[in-house]
Amino acid sequence: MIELTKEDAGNILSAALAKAGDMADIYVTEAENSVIGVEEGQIKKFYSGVSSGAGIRVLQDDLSVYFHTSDLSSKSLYRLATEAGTSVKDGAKTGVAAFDEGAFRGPVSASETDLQMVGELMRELNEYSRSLGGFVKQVAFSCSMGRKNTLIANSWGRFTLRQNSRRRFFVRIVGEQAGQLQTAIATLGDTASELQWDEELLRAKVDEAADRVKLLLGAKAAPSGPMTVILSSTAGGTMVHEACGHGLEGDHIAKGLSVYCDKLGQQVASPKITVIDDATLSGHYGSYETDDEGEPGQKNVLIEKGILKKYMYDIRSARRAGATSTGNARRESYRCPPLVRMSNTYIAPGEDQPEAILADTKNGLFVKKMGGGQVNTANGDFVFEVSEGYIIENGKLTYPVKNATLIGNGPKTLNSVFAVGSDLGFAIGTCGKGGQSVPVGDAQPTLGLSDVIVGGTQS
Amino acid sequence: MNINTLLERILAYSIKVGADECEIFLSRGEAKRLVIGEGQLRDREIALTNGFSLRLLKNSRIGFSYGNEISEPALKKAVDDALISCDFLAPEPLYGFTPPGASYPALPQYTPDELSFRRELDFVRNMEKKALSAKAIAKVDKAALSLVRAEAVIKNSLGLDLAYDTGYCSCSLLAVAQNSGETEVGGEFMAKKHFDVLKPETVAE
Repeated sequence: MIELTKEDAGNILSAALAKAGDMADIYVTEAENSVIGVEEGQIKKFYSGVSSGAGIRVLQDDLSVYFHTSDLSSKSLYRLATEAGTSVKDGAKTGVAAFDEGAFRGPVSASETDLQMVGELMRELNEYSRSLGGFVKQVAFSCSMGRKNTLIANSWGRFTLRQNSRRRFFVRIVGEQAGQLQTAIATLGDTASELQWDEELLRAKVDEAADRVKLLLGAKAAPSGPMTVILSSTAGGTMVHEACGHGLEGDHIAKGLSVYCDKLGQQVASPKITVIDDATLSGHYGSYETDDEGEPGQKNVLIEKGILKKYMYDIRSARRAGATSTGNARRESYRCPPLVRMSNTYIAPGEDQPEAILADTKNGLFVKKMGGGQVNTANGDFVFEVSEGYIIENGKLTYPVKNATLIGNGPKTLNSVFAVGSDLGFAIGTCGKGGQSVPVGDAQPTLGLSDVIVGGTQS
Repeated sequence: MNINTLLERILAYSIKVGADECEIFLSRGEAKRLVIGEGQLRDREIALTNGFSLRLLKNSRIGFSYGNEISEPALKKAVDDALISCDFLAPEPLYGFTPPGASYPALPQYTPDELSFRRELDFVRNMEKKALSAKAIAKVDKAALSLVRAEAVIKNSLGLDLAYDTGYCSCSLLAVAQNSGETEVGGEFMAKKHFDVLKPETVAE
């Protein structure tokens, strides 16, 4: 348990601001993590550990001074805060406000991981995966479970205690047929307080990956060129996260490195498009009660009916922009200063029937599952893999295709949306930025996009 | 209790509760990082870290656990958790820990570079200046310098007892080019054992 008292926290923050500085904060965390993984029919990975430490930050104008340590004694933290305080330039002094009792958040319950039980479950799942069929060449799966206690206090009076937990299951299946190899993955993750797993759910994920790899082994090469693309709600929201979300992060905006700079209030997408980042969705993988600066998690409408309404901010980028934090500060661990990050980012459902969007499409590509991708936030250009795709002919799915990619530009693609389904499908992911990885969720309804460049290998 | 006695006790405990062999790796480190952007000091970071990892062998299985609280209860819990994992892991029959008396190449003791804050700042400013002298470079998003040092101890139940120092320096730069309304970003990174052999002008170019 974190033993730092409010009095300790107040003294540490005062030491950090002794010379100068606009704001100081302290982030103390104790994290337990366990990982169990199966490869080649055997449990090859099984470890757990505890990582604890604290980060102390002083902000002054555009400068951020960040010192961190794994020694949680209040004496050590006080000394570190004093050293951090000497790194700021001479300037106006600010004090530490009284901690706001109203901002105190009690811990939510989270069970300890029963390693023995999860180990037994992985063993049973390993037996199950042996019965998948002759096309399966390799099965690898892993589950990770983590629990974290966090204390965040700042000189503006914020004092937050938080306990949360997260779990993730990942399966990758490699299939082989006539000398040809194909790979499929499936994932599952949430912030449930219960860290144990339901075997049926995990079996369903193994089946999902196996079915997809079987389908890909029988698929034809994807065609290439501009075409109508229907992104199913099951595709996951990689596109909105990568091609739109990153460009709306306040630090990219402040540096002028986003295609969305200076466009607040302007039409940046089809009027059918509303983009939301929502940390408050119960149980979702990217959800949090407070962000890593202690600000409450929020539901932020970023684009409403195509009009850019808001950027995402942490305290630092908000100060630079003359705005307030939107509760989007996140860090991988106490070793990292907070960065502006997404939580659960999605395109809101529209009014079109998903079946009708498909039925009204004469020719095109239907994307049932997206793979990974990357984007250049400075100009909005993106490339995404299609994990599972089908050719559409006269409103019907005719045959599966493999090795397709989608190539485009975020704002142009969001302007080319001609239909938004009434459904919504979520996916999970790990988002990397500035050397830090954080868990995120993303989602979208079924979308109809015109003239997307499809990269394929069909001659 | 001094650290050596503590490690001896944990190794003895691991054998008592069922491990065939056990090894503990302790490390302590210090890292500094300085970042400027558009000519201004933007980030200054200092990291003081310590931690351990522990691996043990039981019936040819290798259990692993880690933590950063160097105390008897924390290390004993790590032993207990690693032992649970040995009941599930696949056997690795060729695996064994290093006995004492093995011959190692002599490693030079790592002497960290002691630099003044002013010298660090001048280094990154010069790197930024060099990058900005190139055609079409509109600005430098980040120019950074990192200095890292660490000490490690490895001790196992076969009697191995080693310690070493290590460290490195690195610099990196992220530049933004603009031309006819197009924006592109490019970065470069260099890591060396010592500060004096870093080539900031190469990174900038």
